[in-house]
Amino acid sequence: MTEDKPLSASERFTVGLILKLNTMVTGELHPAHTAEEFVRVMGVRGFFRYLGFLNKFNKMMHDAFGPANTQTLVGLAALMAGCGYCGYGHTLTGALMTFKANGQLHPVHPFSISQLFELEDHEVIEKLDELLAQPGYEDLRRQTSHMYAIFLGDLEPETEEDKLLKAILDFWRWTVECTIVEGINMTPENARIMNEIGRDKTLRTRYEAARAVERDAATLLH
Amino acid sequence: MTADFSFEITSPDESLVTISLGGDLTSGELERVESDVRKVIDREDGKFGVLWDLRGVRRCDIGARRAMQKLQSEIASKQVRSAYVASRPRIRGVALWIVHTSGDKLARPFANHEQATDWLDTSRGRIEEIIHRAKEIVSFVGGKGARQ
Repeated sequence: MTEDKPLSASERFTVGLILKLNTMVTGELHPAHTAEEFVRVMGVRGFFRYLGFLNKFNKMMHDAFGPANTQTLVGLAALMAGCGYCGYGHTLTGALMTFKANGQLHPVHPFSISQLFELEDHEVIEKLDELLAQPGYEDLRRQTSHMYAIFLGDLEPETEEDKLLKAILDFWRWTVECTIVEGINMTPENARIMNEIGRDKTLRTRYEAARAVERDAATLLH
Repeated sequence: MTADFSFEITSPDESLVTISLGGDLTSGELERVESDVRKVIDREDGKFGVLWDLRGVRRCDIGARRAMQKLQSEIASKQVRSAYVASRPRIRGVALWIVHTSGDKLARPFANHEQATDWLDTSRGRIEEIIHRAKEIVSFVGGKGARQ
């Protein structure tokens, strides 16, 4: 079983390096379990090749979808595959980027998708469509709907946009192969930010305060 | 046994064994059925595919997950191809965890029956397939970069 395979000294050193770099970039300590599994499965060289490709992949997706929507789409691809680590982490990152850009609370975030993991696919599709029905999310709503249809095999990608959505699904199948060791147990409360926006602690505090106001308002309405 | 737990093994033809589970899976439920699953696994090495139909599963506790991981490791040692079908993201995550941690490269989770049976009919392994697709994406990324 993969999790029982011990790491060599150089692999343990690499894991330590990955965790330090990750903390420097994101401002958060990510779980060691995931870094260990990447190195265990891909090897040291394989992992750094994967990272190099991830950077190129992200650049291409940012150019096509914008940085915030890319994060949200990646989070939703991870949701489809059942991984909470990437699902919560990337949707939180997308929500923070949106909040920073325009002060809006994104409808898709760890707490709004946590229940979706437990639903049937057709129910998940409906809920996501409802969440993204707000003005300003038209592109993301269409892209989410297409990505889910591609995932289920109901839509064959023909357009450039759909081919990119399929690439997100395929690329994240590669990623969740390792992150699932953490993603199986992850809760929305423990979501980790996936890029440098996590270093902006003031933004995070403002975002959490705004989310608390939104939650209180929702509680009063019910 | 939980009230709505269900278990069935069927073999629609000699090349496929379907193990259907439903309801809430606990270690107790799995203990009751694993000997039946083992009988099937031990029957014919490598001559059939195993389709785990988890579309009726709502929850799966850690004990049940561990029991299925153990069964999947035994299936892996027989070089038998397996596919998991689950219609809830959480249960697909459980299936991915099982195939990944059992070290079975010939097993993969899917969202529907058709995708799963297609996979059982191919010869490529899960990681092999991921890497193959990753290379296609690399060339796709490279192609786009060259055009910019």
